[in-house]
Amino acid sequence: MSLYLVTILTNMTLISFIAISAYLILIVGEVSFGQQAFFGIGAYMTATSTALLGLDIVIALFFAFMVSSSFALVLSFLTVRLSGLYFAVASLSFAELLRLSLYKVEYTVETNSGTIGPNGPEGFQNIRWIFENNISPENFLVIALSSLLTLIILLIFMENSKLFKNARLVGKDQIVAQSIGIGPFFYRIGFITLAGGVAGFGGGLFALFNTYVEPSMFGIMLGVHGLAYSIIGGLGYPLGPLIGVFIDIGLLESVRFLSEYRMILFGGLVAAILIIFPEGIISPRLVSRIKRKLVKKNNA
Amino acid sequence: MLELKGLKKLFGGITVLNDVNIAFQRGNKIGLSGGNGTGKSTLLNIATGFLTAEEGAVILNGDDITHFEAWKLSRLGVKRTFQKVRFNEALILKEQLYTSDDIIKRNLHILEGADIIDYLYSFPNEVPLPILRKIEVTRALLNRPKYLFLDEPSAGMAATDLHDFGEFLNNFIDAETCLVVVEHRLELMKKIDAKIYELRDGKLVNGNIFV
Amino acid sequence: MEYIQISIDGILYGSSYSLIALGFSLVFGVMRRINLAYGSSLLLGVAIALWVENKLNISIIFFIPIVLFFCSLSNLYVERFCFAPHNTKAGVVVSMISSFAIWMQLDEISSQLLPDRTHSFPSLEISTFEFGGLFFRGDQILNIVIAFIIAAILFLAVYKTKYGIVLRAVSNSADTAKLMGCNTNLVNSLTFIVAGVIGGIAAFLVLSTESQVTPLFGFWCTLKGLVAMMIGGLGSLTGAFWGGLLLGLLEAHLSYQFGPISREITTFSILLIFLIIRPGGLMGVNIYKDLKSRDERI
Repeated sequence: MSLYLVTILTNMTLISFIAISAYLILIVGEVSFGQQAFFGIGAYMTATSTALLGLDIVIALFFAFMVSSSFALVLSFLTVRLSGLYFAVASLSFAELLRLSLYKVEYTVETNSGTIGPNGPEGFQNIRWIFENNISPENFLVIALSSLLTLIILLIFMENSKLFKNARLVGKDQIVAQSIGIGPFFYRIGFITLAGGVAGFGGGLFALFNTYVEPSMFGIMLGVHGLAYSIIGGLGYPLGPLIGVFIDIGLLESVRFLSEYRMILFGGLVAAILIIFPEGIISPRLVSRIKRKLVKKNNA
Repeated sequence: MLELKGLKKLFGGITVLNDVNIAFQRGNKIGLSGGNGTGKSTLLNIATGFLTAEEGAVILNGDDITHFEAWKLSRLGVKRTFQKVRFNEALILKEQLYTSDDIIKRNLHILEGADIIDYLYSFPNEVPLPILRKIEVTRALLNRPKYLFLDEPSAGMAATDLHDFGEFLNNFIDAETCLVVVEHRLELMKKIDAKIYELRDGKLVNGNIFV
Repeated sequence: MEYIQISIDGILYGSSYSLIALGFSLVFGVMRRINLAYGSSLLLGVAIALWVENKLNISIIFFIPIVLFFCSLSNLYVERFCFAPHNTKAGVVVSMISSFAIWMQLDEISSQLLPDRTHSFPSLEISTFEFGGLFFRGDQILNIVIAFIIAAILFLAVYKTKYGIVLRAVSNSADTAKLMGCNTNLVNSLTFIVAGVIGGIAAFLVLSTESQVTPLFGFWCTLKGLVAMMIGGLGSLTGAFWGGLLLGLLEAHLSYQFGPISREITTFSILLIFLIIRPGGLMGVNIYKDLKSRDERI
C-alpha cells in the first residue's frame, strides 16, 4: 500500500471517532458543536501520558478516555436545563474555552530528542511513541482501524439493547419517554459523557499518529466536519458516520483535482444531501424498513 | 389512592383550575367531562406530572408527589395517553411498545383481543387512528398501570370505532386499575360505565349530566 | 478617567456587535431558526465587492451599495439553499446544521477570492476628536449612531407597520400565517435580504474602522453576533442592541485587566455563564416556553 493511501485511511479512521461521538449525542436528540475539544483533550492527555510520563499506550488511551469524558460530564451537568440551539451554542463555547485554555498550558521538559510537553501556542511537540516503538504507518493503521471496528461492533450490538432504544426515544420524543417512565436526564448525561470519551480516545490516537499537536488543530472546523459526517450519514445505524467520512475524505480529498475545492464542494454537498435526505442517508426509517423486510423473509 | 388537593392553575392570568379536589381510587372508572378550554387536559397533565400547579398538592398513597417529574410518576404506576397520538414515524409499532418480546408474548391475549396484532410490523402512518389509540393504551397496559389517564380518546373516532374501543377498555382494564377518561363527549364514558364529573368555571361539579 | 475611557471605547466597539446581532436577531425573530452562515455570507459579500472594486476601480460612494448588494445576495443564497427546503417543524435543527456546513463553503470561496491574509479596505477617514479629556473615534461614533438608528427603524417597522404585523404573524406561527394567505416563503426571503443589508452596513462600518479585511472576519461576525444576541435574549431586537454594547464593554474591561488574549476567553465565558444562569438573556426571553412547550400542547 502506498504511504499516501495509508495516511488517508488513517485520517479517515481517526476522524471517524469524532463523527461517532457526534452521532452518540445526536441519538439523545442534541446537537453538539463541541466534540473537537474532547478530541483535543484526549490528544493532550495521551501525549502527556506517553511522552512525559512514559506510560503504556493502553493506559494512556484509557486516561484520554476518562479525562475527556469527565470534561464532557461537566458540560452535561452545566447544560442540564438547555436543549436544541442553546445546548449547541453552549457546547461550542465550552469547547472553545477548553481549547483557548490549552494556549495557556505550559509545562516543558528538555530531552535528547527535543522539547516535550505542552508549550502554549507552540503545542505539544515530539510525541515519539511511534518511533520509540518502531510502529510503521501500516501497523498504526491496523491499531487505529481495529479500535474503530471494535467500537462500531460494540455499538451495533448495543443498538438492540434497551439502553439504546430508550436513548433514541428520549432523543425523539421526551414526552412519550416520560409517559412510559424513562427519565431523559440520565440518558442525556450518560450519552454526552460517553461521546466525550469516544472523541478523547480518537484524539489520543491522533496525537500518537501526528507526533505533535497544537491548540489550533482543535478549532470549530474540526467539529463542523465531525457533525456533518454523522448528519449526512444518518442516525439509523452506527455505520452512518463512516459514510460521511468516506464521502468527504475518501472521495473529495483523495481525488487530486477535487481536493483544492474540497471545502467548497463538501459544504455544498452536505446542504444538498440534507435537502434530498433530511434525516441522512441511513435514516432510522430506512433501517426499520430493512429490518421489517428481514423479519418477513424469516417468517415466510 | 391518588388525590389532587386544592389545585389552582393559571395560564397567563386566566384561572383554569380553581381549588379542584378529586381522589382516584384503584378499581374505579372515572370520566372527566367539560367544554373546550375548561381545563380537563390541564387537570390530567397535573395529575400525571406533565405540569405543575401554582397551588395545591398531588398525593399518592399519602406521599406528597407534587413536584415529581412525569417519568417518576409513570414508574409509580400513573400512566397516560395523548390527545394526539404520539408515535415515531420511523419505527414499526412493535418497537414502539417499548417492552421486551417476553412481555409481549405473555400479553398476547391483549394484543389478539384488541385486534392489533396484525399491525405490529407496520409503520404508524400505515395504520388507522382507532388502532393507534388502542396501541397507545396497550403500551401503557403492558407496563401494568395503577392509574391510567386517557386524554380525549374519542377524538377523530367514528361511533363504531368508539364502541369497539369501549369494549376493549371493558375487557382489559382490570379491577386493580383506576381508569380516568378525559373527554367532552359522553358516549365512551357511558359505554364503560364511568362515574362522571364535570369541570365548569375551574371547579369540579359532581355532574349528573345524563338528565 | 482611565476606566471611563475604556468603557467608552468598549461601548463604541460593542456597537458593531450590536449591528451584527440585529441582523441575526431579525432572522431568528421571524423564522425561529438560526443562521450560522451569517458571518460567512457577509464575508463573501465583502470579498466579491472587493474583487469587483479591484477590477473596476470605483469610488467609495459606489462601493457601499455594491457591498450591501452582494451581502444580501449571498444571504439570499443561504436562505434558498439551507432554509427554504427545510421549512417544516422537523427542519429547525436540519437547517441549522445545513447553514453550519455552508459556512465552510462560503469561507473557502472568500479565501479563494482574497488569497492574501489581509486585504486593505477603504476607510471613511473620519478623525478622532477629544471631549473633556476623553477621546472618541469618529468612525466608531458613526457606528453607534447607525446601530441605534437601525435598531429604532427595525423596532418601529416590526411593531408599528402593517409589514411588521405580517412578520410577527409568521414568527408566531408560520402555518397559521400561511393559512391566512400570507406568503411565508416571500417573507422569509425578504427577511434574509434585509438581514443581509443590515449585515452589509455592519460589515462595511467594522471593516472601514479596521481598514483591512482578513478571512477570519466571517467567523468573527458569526461569533460576536451570536454571543451578543444570546446575551440580549434570542429574537429580541432591543436585546440584541444592548447585548452588543454590554459585550463590548465587558470585553474592553477584561482585556484591559488580563491582556488581549483573554478577549476571546471573555467572549465565550460570558456566553457560557449567561446560558447557564440566565438562558433567556438580558431581556429574559422565556426559552422553555418558547422553544419547547410553545409548539407543543400535549
